Amino acid sequence: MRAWLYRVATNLALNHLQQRNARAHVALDEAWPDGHDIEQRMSEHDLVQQVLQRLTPKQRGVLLLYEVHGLSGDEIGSLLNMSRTAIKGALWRAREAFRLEYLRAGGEE
Amino acid sequence: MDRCTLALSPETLSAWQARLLPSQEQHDIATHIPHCVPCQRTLAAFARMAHILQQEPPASFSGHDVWNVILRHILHEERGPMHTTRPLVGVAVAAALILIAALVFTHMSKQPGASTLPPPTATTSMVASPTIAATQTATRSPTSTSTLPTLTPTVDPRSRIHNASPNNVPLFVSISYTSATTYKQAAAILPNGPYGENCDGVPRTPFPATYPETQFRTTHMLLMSYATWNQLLVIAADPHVTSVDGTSLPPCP
Repeated sequence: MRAWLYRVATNLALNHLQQRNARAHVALDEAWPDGHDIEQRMSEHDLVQQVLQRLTPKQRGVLLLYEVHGLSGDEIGSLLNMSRTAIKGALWRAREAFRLEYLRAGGEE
Repeated sequence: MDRCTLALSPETLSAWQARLLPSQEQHDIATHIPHCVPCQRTLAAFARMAHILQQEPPASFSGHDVWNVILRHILHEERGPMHTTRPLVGVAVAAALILIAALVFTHMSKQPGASTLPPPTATTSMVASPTIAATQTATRSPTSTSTLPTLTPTVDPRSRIHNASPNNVPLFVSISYTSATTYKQAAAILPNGPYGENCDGVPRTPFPATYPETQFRTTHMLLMSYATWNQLLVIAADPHVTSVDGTSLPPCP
């Protein structure tokens, strides 16, 4: 179980570093290849970052692991040592917190 | 206004999307959603949120502490079992020790006359061999706090005496000393002093005319004349002496 956790964490970290290194110096138009309005994207980017910063670390972790890194609920629960019930509530609270903060910050529903 | 016929909450739909519900419930909701507009709306909101987050460049997440959260939980997982098992191990060891002590006490109490067992005493008996008793000298160290005498065993001095016997003591003996013996120590051992080693001013050969300290350092030997057997025993018993040999001197030229 512990080995599995380490493997998942290691893979996540490696993927994260790989992506970060690959994208750290790319141009904005490469980061958003389909975007026509870079200024609008930058504004959206700032908004998302601002909203994420308003979440608790646990909410951020659960939300990003699920929505961005594609881990399943059970995988997140195993990784963070949380029960299925706990991860269910945590994911919902993270989603709701993000939605509310996003709307409060001026984002469109 | 549309209503969910199953009255599913957004939290339940979130769990359904994450496949965190029991399989039967997962199946029921899956068959329900195509016919439920409110549920579809809620799921669309989730999808939009995911889309917003997934549009972010991955590098933008590097500033967040998601990895710190994961690491903290992994470390907690690593430490958790140890913290919970250490007290249990301590209790188990203490219980085992108590059990062993109880068993030993029970066993001892069943032994006949166990209560009259004398306390252990440290006795030291010195049994000297008759053959070496006469050759041992018991000396008490003045600085020692021990009440036991310190025996300094020595070899039989007679074993160091050669070419001499109680009934036949030659006129001259050569005494060999250890290499650590100084000339003064060697000379002090001899009751008559070192032999005057010349023939009216002419050196005896092969012995030098004198036994200066420098010569003694090389030979570690002195000559003695007219010794008695008891003197030879005393000389031979000295720890500086390695050998006492009866000898005859070369004649004077």
